[in-house]
Amino acid sequence: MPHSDPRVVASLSQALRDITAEVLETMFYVFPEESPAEGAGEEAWVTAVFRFEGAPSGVVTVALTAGAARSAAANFLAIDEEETGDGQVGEVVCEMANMVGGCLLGCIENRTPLQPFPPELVNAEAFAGREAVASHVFYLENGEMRVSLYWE
Amino acid sequence: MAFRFLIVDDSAAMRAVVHRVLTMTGVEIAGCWEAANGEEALAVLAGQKVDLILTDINMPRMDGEQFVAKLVATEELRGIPVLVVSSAQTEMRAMRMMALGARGFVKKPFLPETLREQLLPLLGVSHAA
Repeated sequence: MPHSDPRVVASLSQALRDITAEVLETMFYVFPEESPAEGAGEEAWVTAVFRFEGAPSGVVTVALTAGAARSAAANFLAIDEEETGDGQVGEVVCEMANMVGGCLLGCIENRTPLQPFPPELVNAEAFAGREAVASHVFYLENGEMRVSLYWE
Repeated sequence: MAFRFLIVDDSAAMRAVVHRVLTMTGVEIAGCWEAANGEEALAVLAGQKVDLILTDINMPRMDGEQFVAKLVATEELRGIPVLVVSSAQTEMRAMRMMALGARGFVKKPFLPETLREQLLPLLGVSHAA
């Protein structure tokens, strides 16, 4: 399967990193940092998935710690964090997954277009134990973000 | 001159962002309506005249491609300029929408300046404050 070729995987991994950084900076005004914030990773996670079907089928997961998710949502909506409801946080993380996944599909597609599905929130443990094709951690001012690609 | 806009996207968060970016373009806004899909957008257009439509592509019930097809098939609506605002994976579909009559395509993620550059010519504005 061409998508298991190490060169293809390396290229997709780099694309996943670059696309995520661009989405964070352009739409969320969030700039990744070199090292984790104190206590980062100990909070609950907000996780959204972007699924696609075709050759290959797969899923892109975008997970943010609760504080980072609320901060990104507030930036995206241009409102105060205190005014940002849980529903808005979830919807914004879904939109983040939609943008990252949508852009990444352009790198995965060959001749046949892949069918994307609307992003949705999932339990943070939904992908525990599964091996990702590519995965990156971004350290943010208010927590962490993990973005991963899985084949299905 | 003030303009009326219709934003069509199934994500309320994305509609809010597009609305905010519109306010940052410097164009005077006389009205801005929102719809979550093509069906809702057609219902809005039955009661409101707008100067420009900004639409996503992947939406439930009636997607952006079906929506643009309906617009161009309706005599009183086919003259409204349509700007497609969607993510990169839908570029092929955006091109099909352009072939149907959409007038521009802005890829998500986008900078406010990118939307502004696409928007102003469609409104016949060379520059805004």
